[in-house]
Amino acid sequence: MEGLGVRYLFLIARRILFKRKTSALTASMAVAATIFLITFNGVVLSGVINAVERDLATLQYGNLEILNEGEGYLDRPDYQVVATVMRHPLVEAASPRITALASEVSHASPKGTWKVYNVMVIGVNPALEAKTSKVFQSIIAGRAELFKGDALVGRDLARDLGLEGAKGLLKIKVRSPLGENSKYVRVSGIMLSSAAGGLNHILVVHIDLLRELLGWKHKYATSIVVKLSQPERAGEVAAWIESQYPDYQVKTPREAAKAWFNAIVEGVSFINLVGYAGMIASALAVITVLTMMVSGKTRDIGVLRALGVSRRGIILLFIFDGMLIGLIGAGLGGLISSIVTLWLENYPVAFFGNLVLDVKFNPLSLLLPMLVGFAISVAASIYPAWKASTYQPAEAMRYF
Amino acid sequence: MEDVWKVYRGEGFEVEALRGVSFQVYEGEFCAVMGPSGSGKSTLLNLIGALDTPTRGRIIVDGVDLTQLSEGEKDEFRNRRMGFVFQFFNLLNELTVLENVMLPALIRGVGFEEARAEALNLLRAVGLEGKAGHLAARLSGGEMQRVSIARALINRPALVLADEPTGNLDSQTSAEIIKLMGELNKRNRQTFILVTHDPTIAQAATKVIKILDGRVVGVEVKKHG
Repeated sequence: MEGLGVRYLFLIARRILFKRKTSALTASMAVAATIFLITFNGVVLSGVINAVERDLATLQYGNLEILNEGEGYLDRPDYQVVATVMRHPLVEAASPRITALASEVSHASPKGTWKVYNVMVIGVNPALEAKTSKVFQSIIAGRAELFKGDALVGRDLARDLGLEGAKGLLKIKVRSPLGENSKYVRVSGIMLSSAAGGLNHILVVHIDLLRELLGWKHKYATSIVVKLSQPERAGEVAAWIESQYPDYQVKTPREAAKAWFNAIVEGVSFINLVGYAGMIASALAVITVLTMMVSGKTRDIGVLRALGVSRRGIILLFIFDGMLIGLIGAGLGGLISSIVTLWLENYPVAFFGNLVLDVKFNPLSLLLPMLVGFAISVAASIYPAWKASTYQPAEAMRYF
Repeated sequence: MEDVWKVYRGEGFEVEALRGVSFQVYEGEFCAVMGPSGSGKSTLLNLIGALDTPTRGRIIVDGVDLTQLSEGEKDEFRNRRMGFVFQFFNLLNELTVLENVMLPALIRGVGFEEARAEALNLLRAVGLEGKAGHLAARLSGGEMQRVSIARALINRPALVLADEPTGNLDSQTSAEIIKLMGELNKRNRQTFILVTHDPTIAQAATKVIKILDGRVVGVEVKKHG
């Protein structure tokens, strides 16, 4: 019967909705707000992950990290492994590292002695490290260089050790299978990295000094960090290195810092729950507005039924209103989300103190929350629409 | 109508709005149903208009037994074979005058341009062509009722039902509306059934059915030149 289609129903739906601009806008804004919330969480999540990955790559793990998890160290001379790795055309630089735990680091000054226990110490080859990572670019005080008797101190560790600027002597104690060794080092620089980079609580010393502390006779390292010219092809290079050293493991920063990433994803997932709860709230807002609209249009519904509009037609009429609210809400939500994402992309903000978000605008990532917002709005219109369709024309027309 | 009963039942009460009503209205008649408030006039009109269902009895309109129709068939029947004119006009305030008149045709599935042309013809016939683009809510009572009449006629229904069509109008406008409906009745040979208190409508009618306490108490057939 409704022959040529439902154009007239859409006309009526539009007019009814736009007559109640405030209600329509309120419901649309509720949809838009939840789309924004979910998109914003997604943007922050990807921004944090990108930033963490970037900082971990540039400060801690490189684009790839070569390990020997079975032994705990690479049982070949570090220069040999570095030379082999450097043969790959995508490898820009590689640098050996030794990571160890200092049982105690102390700083004696005229004001007293400060001690910090269980400090992570990284031994690096300064010449190679400078090409591979940004450790030396994280120096905020002192010199960006490292001789054998020097130490670079993370900002927070420097504070805990009572250091005033990049000067002073530190005593490092390291336990090894042969006993406890200790050495004095001169503070040459203070490092400040993002929280993700994680250098703020650690000590960086010359790799040979750490070998002596550990009592290592060979030129072994615990890892080799590798810098690539095309980080996106890390998998390809990792496979090649593993083919050269089948007993070693090669990891990307994301694999190396799995716990970090999992923690972020879990945290943001929790925040997303709030976003989805918001979706329920926006659905309730749509239901409320449309139910009020149905109540306010009872007489008109009766008139339309009297003129021959079927129950299906009445349902469609109010579903069209839900679609319009969803369209406006999704449009607004998408627009606001795009503006905020583009703003964050162009004006990066810092998280967790100094983790600068690395946001990339991706219009496709907006699509899903917009579709979900639209679908929820349509779904939320079903009940009020059904309710409207149950009105008997004769009774409905008695309402004013 | 054959022995039509309508009983409203609620918790602890039962109201017999119509009690065995039977009468016939023939094609082209201009019929007035008269009676005091609460006599069952509006219930009667709702039943004839397939807006409500009788508790008992048969209602045959244009050869179709309304009591045998499904809900969807009733919707279609109302749209194609009936026109409604209401006391409070019942126009959709958000639509323009033209859109209100076009509406039943659009519901029927008529193309937009065809419906528009037909609606403009009808608005010309009721003297409102110049207000086609106005919002319905901005018209006077008399103008609204003219629009309502145009809307009732757009699908060329066999039967036009009017519930107190002059109940909300002043006497001069009432007279104009009655005259307009009378002319349309004669010109189009469409059957009109009007429920009214208004004695001037009764004067214009070719048949007057009097109803009291849910029963038909008199049928008066008149000859008009």
